[in-house]
Amino acid sequence: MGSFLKNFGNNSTIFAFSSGSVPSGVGIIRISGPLSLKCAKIITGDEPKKPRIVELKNFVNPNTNDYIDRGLMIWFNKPNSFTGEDIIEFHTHGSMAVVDLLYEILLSIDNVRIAEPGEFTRRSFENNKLNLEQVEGLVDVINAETKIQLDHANKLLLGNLGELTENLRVKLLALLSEIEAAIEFEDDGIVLDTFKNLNLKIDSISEIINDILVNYQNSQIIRDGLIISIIGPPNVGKSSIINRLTNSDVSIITNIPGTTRDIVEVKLKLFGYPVLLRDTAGLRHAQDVVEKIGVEKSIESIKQSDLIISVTDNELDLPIDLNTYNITDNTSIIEVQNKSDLIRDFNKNDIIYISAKTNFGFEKLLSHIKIILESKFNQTKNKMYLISRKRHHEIFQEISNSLISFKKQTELELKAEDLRFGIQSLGKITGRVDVEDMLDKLFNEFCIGK
Amino acid sequence: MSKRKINYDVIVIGGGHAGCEAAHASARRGASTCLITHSIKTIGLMSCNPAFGGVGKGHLIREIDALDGLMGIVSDFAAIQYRELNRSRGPAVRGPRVQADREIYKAKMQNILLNTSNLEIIEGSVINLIIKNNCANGVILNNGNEIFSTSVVLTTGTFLSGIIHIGNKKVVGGRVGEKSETELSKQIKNFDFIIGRLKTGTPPRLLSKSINYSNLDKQEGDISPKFMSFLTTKTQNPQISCYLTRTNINTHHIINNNIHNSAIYNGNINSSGPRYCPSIEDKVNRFAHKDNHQVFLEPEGLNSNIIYPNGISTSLPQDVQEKFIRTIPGLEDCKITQPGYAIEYDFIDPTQLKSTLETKKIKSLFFAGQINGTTGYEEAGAQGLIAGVNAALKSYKNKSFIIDRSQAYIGVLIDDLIMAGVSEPYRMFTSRSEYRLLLRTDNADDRLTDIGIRNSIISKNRISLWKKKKQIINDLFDFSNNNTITPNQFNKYGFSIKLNGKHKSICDLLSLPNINVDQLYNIWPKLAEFPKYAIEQLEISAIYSGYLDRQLNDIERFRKDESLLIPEDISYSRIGGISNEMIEKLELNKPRTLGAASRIKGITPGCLTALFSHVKNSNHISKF
Repeated sequence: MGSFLKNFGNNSTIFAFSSGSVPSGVGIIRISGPLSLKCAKIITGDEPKKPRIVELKNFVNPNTNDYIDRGLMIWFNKPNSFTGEDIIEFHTHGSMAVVDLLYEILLSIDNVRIAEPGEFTRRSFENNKLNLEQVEGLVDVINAETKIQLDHANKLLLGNLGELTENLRVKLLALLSEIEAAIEFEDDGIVLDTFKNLNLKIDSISEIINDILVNYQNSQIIRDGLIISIIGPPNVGKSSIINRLTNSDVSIITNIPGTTRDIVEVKLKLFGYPVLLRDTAGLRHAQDVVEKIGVEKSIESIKQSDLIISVTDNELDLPIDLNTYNITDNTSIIEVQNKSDLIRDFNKNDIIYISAKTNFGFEKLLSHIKIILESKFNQTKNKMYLISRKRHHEIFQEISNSLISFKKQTELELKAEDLRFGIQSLGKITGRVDVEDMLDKLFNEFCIGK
Repeated sequence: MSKRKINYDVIVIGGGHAGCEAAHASARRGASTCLITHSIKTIGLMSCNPAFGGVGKGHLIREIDALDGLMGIVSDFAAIQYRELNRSRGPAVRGPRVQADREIYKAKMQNILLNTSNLEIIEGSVINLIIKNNCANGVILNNGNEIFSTSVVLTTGTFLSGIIHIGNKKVVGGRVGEKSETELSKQIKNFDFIIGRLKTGTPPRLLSKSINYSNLDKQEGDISPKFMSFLTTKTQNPQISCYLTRTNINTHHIINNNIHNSAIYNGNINSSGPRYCPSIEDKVNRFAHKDNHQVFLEPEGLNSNIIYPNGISTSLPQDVQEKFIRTIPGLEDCKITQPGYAIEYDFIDPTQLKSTLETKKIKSLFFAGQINGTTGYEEAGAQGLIAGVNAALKSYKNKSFIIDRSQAYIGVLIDDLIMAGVSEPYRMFTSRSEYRLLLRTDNADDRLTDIGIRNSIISKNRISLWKKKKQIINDLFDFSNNNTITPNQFNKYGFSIKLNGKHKSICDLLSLPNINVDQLYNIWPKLAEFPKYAIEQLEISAIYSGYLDRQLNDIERFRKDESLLIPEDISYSRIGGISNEMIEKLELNKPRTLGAASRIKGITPGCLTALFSHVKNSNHISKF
């Protein structure tokens, strides 16, 4: 019976970034489970040929065919791997952008998910890969891990996220107890006056979640750095400005090969703040197909930017009209006119005049950038602890999906199921929510029972 | 007294709902069983409301029935009104419920038990358990007789140190007019069982003739009744109606003015009562903003002139009860036949039990029912069944009968009790189950009857009926998975589903929104040949399809942890790397599985990891 029910098994494939923090020179993403080889095929185009052989591969986004990175792939075949399952390791450049992209691709595959803390170890226990002594050592590690998580959770509780998630928990619980009260007791004659407004209530909760998800984007700035795009027509001196910036008050951390064909990206620290500096292809009406793609990517990059430095020169007097690119209010713009050694007439206040040739105006440009960086980082500082981790982001995304499904459902017990799932997801951050919590709420608020 | 055997496999003490199921289940399992009760006449007595089932409780009855227990069949036999709760909601949360005739129920239950092979019933009062080497071997009756057995099931309900409160009056006893088992209570305390105290209450009973029904709302039963037992095919009695009335400001005024005389409020009772079944004093106080509360007038039987006013349980003095009741519409001239009362009683902290309901402290001693801190006939019956079968299995080595959380509400009930204990009388709610969509009343037989068959507790008749039913449902699912149609063809019947060229099975189609089986009969006429219960299963699978997948995944994860058994003789202190605090928690709870260990409050992932690997490795070693 129950032949509807395919997709059995929690035997899902798990993955995690398992080489500490990024950015770093090399990052390792480890995938374990029955779909590891499929993951390898999706990202590199091929399944590995032999186990325990290092292969040099291009990592490509299967959805867009975009080149992501070039790195190493190793297959540890089951049952001889650490977990006893097929394991694939990707050794990539340890850039956040690369890791993020790979995460997104892996998460889009059915039955593949981010590993829970300690899950690789757990799987290796289950498959009898570790002996007692090895395990005892690992227990300490896992306890420590738990402590770090706990500290982290406590830290979160002190900040905005703690308040928000607590607020969220209370709201979801209140809603659930209302629904459960109706399910358990409505025919006993309890009357729920507020019951009609279920969807309104869920909307107000969705709003909070959406805020959190949006703020996640902001907090990425803290983690990944502010994106500064240098744009302008070809040959106005964009590259020389980049060179100036990277050579002055900056230290290069990594030099990532362009994630797209025509954008050169440099990660650096500017006045102590992490920054991703992008040199885009020149913007003009493209003549051929290849160039057209380059221009389109530049436009995409412009849209993602936190700060745009729009460069023109004396000879081509019209700056790029940024209004045509739908730039959000969050993006700051500095207009720069290069080659100002060739002019006399500095008549516009909102334009910074520089000369890459004589270094004229660079002080002013740098201090301008500094002011903008400071304000951007202060803006997000309050929200700094807002889900800065991919895992948290995934959890909130899960909650958001549950709430969307909640609204679509008509059957009360399925609405309850969606809410429970949402609350369960939240529990991964705030700790478990018990049935008893819900019942407490229920009995306190409704006069129940014949 | 005629010559009686003095040696049995199983002795069951108590003839309440737990005792009946325990005795019958034990006998069904083939153990020679002895049921000891104060009086055969009180076997199967419904001491509180004249109803069985409801949301959550109806689930338990269907599960008891699927395991061939008695409560479903007997309550159908005594049913005088069928009313399924949550009828308008989805299948997972519907709760079959009946009003039952007390006399018919009791008589039928006694009749079945008196005619059960392997089962003898003795009238008597147990004053002591015979316990040797920490193992229960029998009982001593108040006449001095000793009866021996391999195991003993104690189902003494509220009889352990029960005290009845009516206003300021106190009476020692388990039910009005019956004795309380204080000696047995003392003995159990002497064995150092942790004992707690709970309270519960019951409303006054009213004389039906003295009620004026003319202006009250009538509540009729369902036109097409849903039976409690899978075996029942028709209603057995004429069907009656209930009536609905309400308290009002005057009622509340009288209650508030006399609240100091209520046993609950005058300091006589401090123990916890059920929050979901509050006394009228509680309701008036805690929900002061409500100016009325519902009162359901439920007949106690076809030929009974007594009405059970559901909703006004109270421990106010009798004269006050009469006063406030007479403010209620329809009850102006009402006569009370028996006043409402509150009862305080001892319960055994159920965390001292294993999932077989055997005590961890004394071997072969089982506790079941209200004595474990639960409330309700259904909760008691469910425990009785589990304890009865396991008591019977004590004669065999290493056999036990355990239902887990993923299989049934019975499993949820027992796991909640033994893992978390109780702080108020425990009642089943569907929200207590993680797998609510799977654990439904409609599929209790699918979930449990085969398990029952494997454990030899199902009668031949039920086995053959179930096998037939199962075959038909399987045929329907096969048919619905194997018969496909292209979207193009399908849309020719007036539908408009997405055209992706992929063949869709009947199952696929049903999981699309707004498509039901009725619409498919003219495409596949054979569907109409299947009985309603099979079609129902198909439709439910479709409604819940995406969600059921998720719950099945959860269950698989759960089973994985549950399948790792922790040996009973494990020495926690020998597990490396875990703190003393963790060792203490484990010692106290003695979890049977890794899953159970993970449900102990405060257990850390590190501790679980260590426990996991320790057990895995020692299992591994013991194989050689």
